[in-house]
Parts: sequence; C-alpha cells; structure tokens
Amino acid sequence: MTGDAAMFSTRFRDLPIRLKLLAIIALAAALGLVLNLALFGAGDLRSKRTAMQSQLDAMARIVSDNSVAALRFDDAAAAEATLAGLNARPEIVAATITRPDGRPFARYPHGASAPMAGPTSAEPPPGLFRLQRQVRQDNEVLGVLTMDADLAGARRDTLASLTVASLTSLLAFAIALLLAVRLQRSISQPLLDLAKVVEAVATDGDRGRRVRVDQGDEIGHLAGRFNAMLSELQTREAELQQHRDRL
Amino acid sequence: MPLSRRRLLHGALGACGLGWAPLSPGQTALTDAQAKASALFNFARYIEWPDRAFASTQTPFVFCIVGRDSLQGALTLLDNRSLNGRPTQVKRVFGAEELRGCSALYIDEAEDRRTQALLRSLAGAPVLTVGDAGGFAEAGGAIMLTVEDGRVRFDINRAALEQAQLRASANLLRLARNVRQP
Repeated sequence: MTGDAAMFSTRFRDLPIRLKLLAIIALAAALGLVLNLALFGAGDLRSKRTAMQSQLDAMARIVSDNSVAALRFDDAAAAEATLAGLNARPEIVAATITRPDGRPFARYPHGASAPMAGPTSAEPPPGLFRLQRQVRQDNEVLGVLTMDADLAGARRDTLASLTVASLTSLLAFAIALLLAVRLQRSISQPLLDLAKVVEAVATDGDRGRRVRVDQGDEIGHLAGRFNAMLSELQTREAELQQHRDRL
Repeated sequence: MPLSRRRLLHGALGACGLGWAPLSPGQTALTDAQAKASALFNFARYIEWPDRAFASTQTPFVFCIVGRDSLQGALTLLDNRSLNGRPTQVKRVFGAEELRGCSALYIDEAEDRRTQALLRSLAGAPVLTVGDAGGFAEAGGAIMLTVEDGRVRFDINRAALEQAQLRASANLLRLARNVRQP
C-alpha cells in the first residue's frame, strides 16, 4: 500500500503542471460531489422512512380504533374485514390482532392460517419493519395490533432519486473539468512561457529576450525578476565589453 | 343495600363458573349467561342515550334484568362498573311498574311472556331493550341476541331504537347479523 502510494506520489511529482492542476481540481470536485450524494441519499432514505412510518402509524391507529367493537363482540370476521382495508397500502405485508393473552384473533391477509406465518412470531422477518399498537378503549387493553411492513419501497424510491442525482452530479463534474481545462491555463501558460524563454536563453545566449509579464501573482513576479536578471546580465556584459574595448 | 349480598353471591358463583368451565384453547371460557351479560354491557357502550335520559352526569346507568334467574352468575359483569363515565348498577325487575330509572332492560327467553306488557309500558322512553327470545325484534324489542358456540350474534331493530331516541354507532350496526331498517 505504502509502496503504491510512494509510486503514485513520485509519478504525480513528475506530471506536468497542467495535468497536476487538472488532477487536483477533478479530485476536489469529485470528492465534493460524492460526499454530497452520500449525504443526500442518507437524508432522503431517512425522511422517506420517517414519512412511511408515520403513515403506518396513522394506519394502525385507524385500524385499531375500528377493531374495538369487533374485539368487544368477539367478531373475528368483522375484524378481518377491517384488516382487509390494509391492502390500500401494499408495503404492509402482514398484520394480526391478538388478544391481550396472546391468542390470535384476526389476521391479514385473510386466511394466512399457518401459526407462524405473519406477525405471530416474536421477531419480524428480516427486512421488515414491525409496528405494534394496543387496541384499547376506556383504558382497557382489548388486543394488540401488529403490522409488518416492507420498507423496500422507500429504498427503491431513494435509489431512483439517487440515480437522478448521480447523473446531475456527473454533468456537474464534466462542467467542472471543462472549466478546469480553461482556467488552469492562467497558471500553467505563463509558466510554460517563462520556461520557453529560459530554454531559448540557455541555448543561444541571447540576453535580449524578455518574458511577457501581464499578471501580478508569484509567476508574474518570478518572470519580472527573471527579466531584471537578464537586463542586469546585459548591462554587465556591455560594461565588460567596454572595458575589453578600452584595454 | 339488599343487592350487595346478592352481588357477593353472584360474584362467587361467577368465579366458580369460570373455574369449572373447560378451558379449551381458542375457546372463550364464558358461560352463555356471561356472554350475554358482557354483550349487554357492550351494546350500552355503542349506543348513545339522549341527555334527558339521565338527571345528571353522575346519574348511574341502571341495567334492569327481568326475572329472578336471568343472567344468573353473570351480573358482576354489569354491576358497579364504569360506562362512559357513569357508574353502573343492576336491578332485578318483575313488572312494568318497576321500570323507573332503567337505562337498559334485559328480557330473558324464560320471561318472554312479559315482553309485550313491558315493551308497551316503555313506549318512547329512552330504554334499550335487549332480549334473547326468538321473535324479540319482531315484537318491538331493540336488540335480539343469541349465543352460538359461545359467541354472541345479534339483530338490531332500528325502528325500536329510534322510538326510544337511542342512537346506535355504525360500529355496532356493522357487527349486527341483521339490521331491521325503520
């Protein structure tokens, strides 16, 4: 790992400034976008879950209020008719009403007769969200309503909106890269210009060359100092030439 | 209070009844009398009495039971409880002249011969009439109940309820086997 990192850093060190700048900008942009996506996804999932849970809660309240009379009169068929209304919410996969002593009273879907099918077991099946509510009247507990809901729908919704968000993020990343390609020139171009002049001076020794300076940053400053050095060299050489001529 | 000794006796009987009843799984250990008494109480939960039926908010709700032996061993389910904020009482009655103060009247099949006279004397009074004789609803009673396999089934006579100015909740009407519309 450290070897890889070392290799990466030496390779990065050898990259031309243009690519370095591009890599840095791309990395920063990508990191920001990915972080944003993750936070958005988590937040979205949480808010969808909360919304779904409060809907389930409201549903449970309605069902338990409407089951009171059926429990009072021991009318399981009426209770199952009430429970059948749960099919309006497809995420509710199973529901039962049990007596306070644990005896089953009514279940949904109707005829799910296997004793361990549905919420009669103590633990909800994996992946399901369980909601329990006491059916009560006048502070008397008449039964317990248990509902198991599949929140995969919330996950699917979040996944769909995450896909959309990913696509827009990708677009944003592409725009950022395009901008980076253009903007990095403001740093790399003057450096390349400076390097070209240095190279030329080194090859032909012509101290009359100058670097064009049109920016006030460190590179402009460096270019200015380089120009000044060239002029100084020129005057020294001229003086030297004069001395030599006089001698 | 002449009722308290009887209440004790019925309490004891009720407890014994519960103790003797065979407890098969899934089967409620209620005697028919207990099933009927608890249904009677539950009817009262789901029916609204006009304000004039009670002198004050603290006026007790009185279940009047016709005859000496009706709902034997089950009166504890009706007596001295709380119903919509009112205390409940049980009173045994034997004739039309004793119906003052009754909020609900239960006429057992064994007392069916008194039905006509009792219903006639109630005419228009806010009293819920419940009976388990076969033709009780046809005879003008408000709720006819039967017990099948330990479970209560009932028919509602809405005309009789209306005449008594009683209002049954939709939840109760939904559970009725038959609703005779006025």
